[in-house]
Amino acid sequence: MDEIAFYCCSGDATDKHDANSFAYLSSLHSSKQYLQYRQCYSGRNGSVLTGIGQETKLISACNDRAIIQVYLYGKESPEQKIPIPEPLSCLEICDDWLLVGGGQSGRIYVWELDSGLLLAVKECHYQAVNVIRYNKGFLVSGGADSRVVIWRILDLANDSINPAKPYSILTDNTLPVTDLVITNGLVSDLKVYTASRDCTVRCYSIASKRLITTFVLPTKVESLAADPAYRALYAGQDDGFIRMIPLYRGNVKTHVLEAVGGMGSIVTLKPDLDLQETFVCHKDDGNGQTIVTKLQVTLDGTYLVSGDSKGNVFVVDIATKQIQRKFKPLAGAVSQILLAYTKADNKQLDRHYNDKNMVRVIPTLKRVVVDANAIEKHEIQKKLGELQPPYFGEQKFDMNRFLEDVKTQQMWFTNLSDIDSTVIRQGSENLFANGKAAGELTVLKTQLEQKNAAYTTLKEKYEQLYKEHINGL
Amino acid sequence: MSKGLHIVPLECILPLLEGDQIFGADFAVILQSLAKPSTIDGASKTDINHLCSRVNNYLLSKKTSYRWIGCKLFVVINLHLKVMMSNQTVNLVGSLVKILESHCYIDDFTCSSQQQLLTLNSCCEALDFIIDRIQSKPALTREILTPKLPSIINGLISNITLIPQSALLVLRKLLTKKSTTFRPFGMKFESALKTLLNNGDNLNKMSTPLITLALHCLATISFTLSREDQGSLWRSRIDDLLIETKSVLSIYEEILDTSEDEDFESRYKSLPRLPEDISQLNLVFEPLSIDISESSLEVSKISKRIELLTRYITAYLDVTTSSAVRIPLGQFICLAELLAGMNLRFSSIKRDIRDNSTRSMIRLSLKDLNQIGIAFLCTLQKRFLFDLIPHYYTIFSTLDSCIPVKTHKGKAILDVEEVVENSELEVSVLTAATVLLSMMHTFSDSSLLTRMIDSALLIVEPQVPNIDEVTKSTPSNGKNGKGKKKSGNMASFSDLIAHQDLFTINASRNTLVKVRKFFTAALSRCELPSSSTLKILRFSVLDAVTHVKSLHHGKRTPLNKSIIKLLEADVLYPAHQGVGISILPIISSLLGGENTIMSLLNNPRLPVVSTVLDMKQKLKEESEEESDESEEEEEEKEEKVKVDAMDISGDTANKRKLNSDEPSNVEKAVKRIRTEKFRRVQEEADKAKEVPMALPEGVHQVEETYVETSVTITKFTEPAEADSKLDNDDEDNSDFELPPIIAGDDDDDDDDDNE
Repeated sequence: MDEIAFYCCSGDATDKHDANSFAYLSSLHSSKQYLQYRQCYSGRNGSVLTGIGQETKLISACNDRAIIQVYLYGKESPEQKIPIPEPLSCLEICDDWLLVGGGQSGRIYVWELDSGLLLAVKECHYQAVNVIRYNKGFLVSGGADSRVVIWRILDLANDSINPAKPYSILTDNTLPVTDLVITNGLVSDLKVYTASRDCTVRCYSIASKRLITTFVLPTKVESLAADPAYRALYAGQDDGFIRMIPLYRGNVKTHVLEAVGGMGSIVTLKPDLDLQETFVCHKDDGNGQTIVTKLQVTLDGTYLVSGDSKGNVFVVDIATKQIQRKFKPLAGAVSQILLAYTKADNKQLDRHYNDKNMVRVIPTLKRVVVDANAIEKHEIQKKLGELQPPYFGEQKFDMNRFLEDVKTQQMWFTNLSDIDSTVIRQGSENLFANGKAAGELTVLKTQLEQKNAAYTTLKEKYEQLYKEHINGL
Repeated sequence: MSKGLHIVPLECILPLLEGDQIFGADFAVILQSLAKPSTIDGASKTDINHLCSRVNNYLLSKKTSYRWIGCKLFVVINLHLKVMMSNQTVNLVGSLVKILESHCYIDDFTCSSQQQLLTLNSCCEALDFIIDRIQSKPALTREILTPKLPSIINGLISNITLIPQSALLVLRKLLTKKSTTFRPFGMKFESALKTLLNNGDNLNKMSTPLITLALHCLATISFTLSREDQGSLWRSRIDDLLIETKSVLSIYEEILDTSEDEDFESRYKSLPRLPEDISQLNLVFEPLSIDISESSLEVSKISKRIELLTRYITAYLDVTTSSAVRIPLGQFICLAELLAGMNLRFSSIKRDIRDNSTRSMIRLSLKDLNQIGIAFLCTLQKRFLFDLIPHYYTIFSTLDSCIPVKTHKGKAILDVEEVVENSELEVSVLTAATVLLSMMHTFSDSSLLTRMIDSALLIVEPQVPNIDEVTKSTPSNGKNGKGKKKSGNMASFSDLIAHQDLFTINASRNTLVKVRKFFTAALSRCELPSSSTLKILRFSVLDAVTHVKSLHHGKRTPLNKSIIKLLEADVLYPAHQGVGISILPIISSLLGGENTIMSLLNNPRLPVVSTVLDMKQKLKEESEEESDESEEEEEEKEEKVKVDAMDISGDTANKRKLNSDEPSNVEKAVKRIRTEKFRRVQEEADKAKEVPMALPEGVHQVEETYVETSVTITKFTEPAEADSKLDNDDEDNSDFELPPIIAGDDDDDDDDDNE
């Protein structure tokens, strides 16, 4: 098994042709680099993957340009450049079905990937949308206007028929929201953690739309990640530190494990002078301030993958807080880190494997919102059936099933009774023993007898006449 | 099964493989021995050749049983690479082809023996096996398969009428993977398939998988073998099919007043336009010829043809295309909705059709159409899943319209008799609704589900025969026979009257499973009104009690899976309002100790985050009750104490709704008592933790600091939830509250009760 990290940057302002803006797909546990993407640069959270492997795509919203670039897995250069209504600051993909973009004007755009239809455009924020996250039918957006807006994806998809309204708007933050994390679980248990430059991480229950806990950090929070089992949060700060926020803690008095927060409480985290819960890998190296721009936690919750404003990406062991790997640095601030896992020997990841019939592009994303009439003429582009997989050998022959079939069929060839029903045919008489043939035989016999009788009579007559003739002479 | 069989060496097997001598041994043992690598690996080349020639002799024999034996032996010996790669394989494949070409010496295709058919089937399976083994190996394919492929295809096509299932399976494989070799046989195969289907007349004479297979082959052949762009060809075929379906549907315009139905009109117009000249139609099947004045049964031909066409469209969606195709999903959904939504409520039968039998046939035909429409919708759901979501609400509305209703006192209520009569249609509606609900994690419009829930409960109710109805239908012809007939009938009806339970018909297992799945999806995806939730809870508990033997203390088996899932949904997704009694104890008792979810709910392992209930709404309701009923003061106090107990434990805070109205005096008083109570309990809890704490009135917010300081400091501010909550939910009109389910709070509750 292998874990793969995709990471890209926001580009270098001095590089006009973006020749140095690369994105990479690298293994977390080995030195293997699966792929690199040229001229790939996006705003923070502005790149998404439809998956890893053949026919999957990387969709990247170009930083400060009204263009989306689509890369096919296995190809370094963009396969498509799609013009869009405005520069997008962030992207999110919902169940490989919808592409949601957050604009710098504060609008969110909802496209259907299979048709390219623009299903909805919503005036969501007063300033740029910084981050969009989707889980379990809820789309949550955080903006520079410090608001967090929650939508039901079903409402957005049906916006042309029933104009969608936000499920909830959270306005507790006072400065821009920089990152969001939505937990997993049953819909009634879903929570959203918001990170903001007002030095807080807030936890809301989506079902009840209530603030559960506010964590107050010493500095601005720029990025946020959660342990897969939600035992802790990791907050990337604007001073280069990553702060761990435990969500369970032993009570020092009672020695009982307790959940941190709840009941709308405010939990203030004081500066961690002993660095017990702080990661310092991105700490300022003297060349200006470093901001931890992106964070992700690996599948097993033991490593933290973090990127900073100087283009450094580290893999840090959470237990020891030691850097395990340093990825190839990027030309600008790290804008996106995405993790995926796969089998180590997965042939689908072989970049040289090429199916000439694979779907290389996505439908062109429309720039006009779809109306109810257009929905009736809804057309999607899809490859039907399954992608021809590479040859992985054949399945073992199921001998037991085969023998069972043989036994079942053998019944028809076996005389299961104690009567020997073999018909012994003697001579040719029995050949026409029955049926139509027998009838014909009888008729023929009768005809033959009649003819014989007639011949005999004729012969007798002839002989009599002949005798009379002789006697007459 | 095969464990008791002994393995026999090849030297012992070879003498047996000659004529009738094979019957002297157990055939299964021979096959298993030959399948073992050890039997063949150690054998000499002479022995292998010997074995192959013996098998070939069987295959070439004129005796049916020998040929069948040969087919089976062919499969097992070709499991070994040593045999498969030998020169003998070509001869063996040639012998198999000869069996196909000779049709296994079947002279009369209408009266063939089972043995001959089995032999032909085995021959097909053997060819399928060797094709699978050889393909993707270039040299073997070139040497063995490619030279024989035309004769194999030809042989299989000629046997389609005898062994359709086996032949079509192999042909479909060859069609997709060896399309170049298949090209010359395209027309022949297509005409053979059309003969098999016979314009849909054979639709009810063949099994469903066989029809699906035949239609799949027909769809594949229509565009795969062409040298044109397959994507555009696929699309033009689909358009032709939609037009053909529309042309068939247009017949209904002759017998129904479809102009009354606006939805029908708009959906009908959404389908591709019919050409002005009908002769320009590219019909796949022959035109329908219907004369309802001749026979009312002719009406059923329309729905039968539409079924064939929709299944053919489905086959086009199942094929594998080499490139992306443009799928007219909107038109497919329009067609499905058109079929599912056709109803005499909206478009009545034309008045010039007066014959009762014809009118009832039209009615039945429409029900068939509804069923076909929903089945088509289900196939679309399975294949396109999320792509259907922009049509989510319209599909739900169509499903809702399939539930029979009648007007009673100006209100539309469920037509119980119609629901029971068309229970199969209702089950299809529920299945489609379940898939739709499962697509999304939340569904806000519960009103669309209410009628479905009621109809679901109706169709699972045991059906008791109506004695009056049965006795009414007793014929009474003539005076003479009247007395005798009556007495005879009375004797048979005595059972019905005395043992009515013996005539009760319960819902089938399949129906029950589908209804349970629907209820599970409805509970988990939607905020249902409390009345609907209560109905489902009642059903699920009664259902579990009825099937208590199959519950196995909550351990999942294929038989009880749906029951347990529904019970789990009952506790995982409790009513959002108005259900005062927790179902947790009942479900815990039913599912016992083997159910993992119940174990986790009853014994939570991690400390849960503290939550707080908002009691404004609750208190308002109580005050209303008090003013309406003018209860006694003591009773009021008891109620408040009850409320307090629930407040403290606070599990269902997320289910409650805020109310911005000003609190009444009673509310204020209750709030004061509640706060004091809350404070007292909190103090006790804090004492237990040895942390100094005091709560001011109405405050729940706590600030904690840690990391550097080991002592927890607490301070209190205004409740945060009121600020953070911007969008209020609907008003809670319930009389009940869910009892809290929270670990470690049992003691507190008990204390309050005692007080």
